[in-house]
Amino acid sequence: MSNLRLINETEFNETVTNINIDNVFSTDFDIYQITLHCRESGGGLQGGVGMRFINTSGSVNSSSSYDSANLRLLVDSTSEDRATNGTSLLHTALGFTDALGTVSTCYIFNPYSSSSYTFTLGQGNFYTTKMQTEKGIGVFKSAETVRGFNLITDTGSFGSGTIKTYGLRVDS
Amino acid sequence: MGLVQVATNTVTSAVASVTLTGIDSDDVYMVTIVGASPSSGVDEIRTRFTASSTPQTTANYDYANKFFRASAAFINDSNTNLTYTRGTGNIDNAFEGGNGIFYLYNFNNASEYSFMTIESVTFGFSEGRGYAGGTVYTVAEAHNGVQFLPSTGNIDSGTFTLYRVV
Repeated sequence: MSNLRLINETEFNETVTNINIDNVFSTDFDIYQITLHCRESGGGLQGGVGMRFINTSGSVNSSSSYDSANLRLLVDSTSEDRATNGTSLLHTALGFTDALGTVSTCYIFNPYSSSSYTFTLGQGNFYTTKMQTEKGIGVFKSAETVRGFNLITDTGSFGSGTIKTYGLRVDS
Repeated sequence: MGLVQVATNTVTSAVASVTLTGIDSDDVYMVTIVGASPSSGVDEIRTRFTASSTPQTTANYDYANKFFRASAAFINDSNTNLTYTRGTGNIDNAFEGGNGIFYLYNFNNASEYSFMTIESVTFGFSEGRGYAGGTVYTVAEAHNGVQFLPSTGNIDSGTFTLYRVV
């Protein structure tokens, strides 16, 4: 049996711009893998997929506690560095939504620990008229337990697709 | 992707290094680090490969990484012929902030170099930091594992786990 265990699978439709994946983090796992597969088939605008965390009361934390550092790789131009410090979300943690498809993976470290910050490693590939890649890191700078996450687009909607949450099991 | 656990080590009291072994096939292997914290105030986690469970310390490690920073320009960080490779950026030990995913290639093959991809995220010097890139040990020999160690002092905490990718 694989140590990578499926915890949650959520499907969504064209109109969604803000998605909560709640009650997926627990003491069972320290590392989680999130996958996003979507397509904004209406040809809508490209929108960054930001991430925020849901606290133990069920509220989305949008305080100025998020650091992000992302490298945007372009097929027809030089790469771009995108760094933000102390903002209200992890910018482009799962790349961008796009008309012809987005595939992204993000790892989350220690979200359920009350003594550690929460960390992310992510990469998204997306396509409208050309392929682009967003690769980066994130830190939620609050030593608190979080039980889930929120994904939000800064422009347009997600389109339709699926978010899967896996836990990476460690057997002692 | 399936992952089968091969070895794990959770550090609960200070140790000079952590070694994970058990690579005995030509499969790709993956190592995870979560919550690693050095004993010194801010330090990186370095990596060496093990041959017959002995960490290799000859000056044959090359690496090339993109160093991500949340509050400054990114840096191309590379080096050759070191006695170790860099696994993470600086970790502030107040936040248990050393985390990473590393893939290991060719380790069981005695006639080719061993390679490791690097993706890590830390918090140090008041900003989120990351490394993305890779490393190679330029000696054609078999390796059965990896060692993690700080540049000075000890590792105080963290869980280090080796998986076989199936």
